[in-house]
Amino acid sequence: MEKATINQSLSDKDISLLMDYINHELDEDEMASVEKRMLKDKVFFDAIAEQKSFNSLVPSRMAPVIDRERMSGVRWATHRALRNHSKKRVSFLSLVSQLWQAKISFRSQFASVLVAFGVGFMVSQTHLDNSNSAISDSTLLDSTMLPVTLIKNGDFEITDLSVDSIDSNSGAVKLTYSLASQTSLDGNIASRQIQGLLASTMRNDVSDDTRLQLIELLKGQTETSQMRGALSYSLLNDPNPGVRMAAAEVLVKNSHYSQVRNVLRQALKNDVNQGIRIQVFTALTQYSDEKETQEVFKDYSVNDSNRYIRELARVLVHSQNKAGVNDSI
Amino acid sequence: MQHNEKELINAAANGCTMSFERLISPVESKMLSIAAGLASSPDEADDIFQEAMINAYRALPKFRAESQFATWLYRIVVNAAMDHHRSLKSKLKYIVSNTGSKNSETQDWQAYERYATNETGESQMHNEQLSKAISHALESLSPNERIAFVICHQQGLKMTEAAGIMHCSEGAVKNFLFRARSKMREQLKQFVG
Repeated sequence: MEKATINQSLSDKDISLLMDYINHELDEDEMASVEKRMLKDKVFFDAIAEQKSFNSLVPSRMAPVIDRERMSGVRWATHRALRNHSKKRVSFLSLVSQLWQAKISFRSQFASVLVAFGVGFMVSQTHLDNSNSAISDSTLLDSTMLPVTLIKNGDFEITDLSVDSIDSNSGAVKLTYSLASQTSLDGNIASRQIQGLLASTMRNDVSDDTRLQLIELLKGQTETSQMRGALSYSLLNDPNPGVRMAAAEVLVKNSHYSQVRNVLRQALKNDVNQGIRIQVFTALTQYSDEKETQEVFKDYSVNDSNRYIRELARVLVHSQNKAGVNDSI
Repeated sequence: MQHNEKELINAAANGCTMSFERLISPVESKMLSIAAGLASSPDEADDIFQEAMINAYRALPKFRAESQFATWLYRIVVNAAMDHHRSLKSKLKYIVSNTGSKNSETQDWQAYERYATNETGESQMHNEQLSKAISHALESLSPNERIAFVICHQQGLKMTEAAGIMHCSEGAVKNFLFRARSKMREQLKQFVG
């Protein structure tokens, strides 16, 4: 029987009964009554058969799959939006004050920084592609910026001391320990010392929330290469997509710096989050006449999984090729 | 309502965003999945989810404990999806994104939501094709049919709960759902044996 005829033959009551049957919302007596009717009523039987065949193709609870990366990115975007809508309005100075007094633990920060600087320097050498390195080592490791320079003499504690080995005969001993210091600092957000400390925190703090807060705090301080370097590090290395997105949003406003454009190109090639890639791609389209940008568009963006990037990149590459041909003629 | 949930609601209603985030954490994946079923693309689903959560945060002081928090949140997500569809901006975006490439063979399935089935070799390819077909078929439904299909068939809500979310009778929900399934079956007939 034609599908349209089946549906037209069914009353609202029949449809209600049919849906309850398919969704197992009938009691035993009602089920029995429906099955008895199916034996006599071909229209009703065909209607139920159609619904059952649909269930076998698209089972109940077959829903869009939300993977962890996507959920994490959306969660963090929502987190930022919620903070912007929050009823409490925190003044700039009180936020800095909170960060210094309560939200940042310098004891653990300093202990981790000492280890992280050594390890992080070695990792950054191998992690970043030297030929495309956007951040010079001198920018990252300016010795005047090291938090250790902020510690006053003797103002530290030894923690986690362990005796690795001891030779009772010769007295030779091997010790491992950490140093921790709590320091308060008065200054100006524009000062290099404070920016250096905050930049270091952006790289090392284990709290996603703190790293995100710092980006929000420092987004107006991008005149110095140090801050741009810290934001670049966040964009290319932070494990949290929300933090990377926040860094991208600040850096795209500074895309007039060539070093920043190098970083944006790296993010466009490598970031797994398509929202971030869209953000940096859109900024780079303004520099599509640059050779390095053209190469990234041609080698990576034309095959991007995101349709917007893919199609616009193809248009840009095509128009650049055409312009190149016209020039040679 | 659990005591802890009540405390979180009170704190969030007074402006604590962290409490709100803890409140939605157990159901956020489900809410995004609902948004994904109601949206035209994954990007739009993410936007709808975000708008819905902002709306929920704003409306929380008005939340009454007569309904379950999750049900209240479902309603907000559904309303956000409908508002999004009605907005001129989303209509323009839909037209621009679909012009010229509707029948293109290079149209990437990743522009569509992925639906869960067994993932092994041939069945994985079948799932990709089916996912694309389901996403396309959902576009043919009316707003009410789509809502009924997403919240009842995809998310497994009872008809009574769906009726509360859709502000209509149970009978109406069953009708919408029946029509949605019939239309979807018609659209997906190439997959039906």
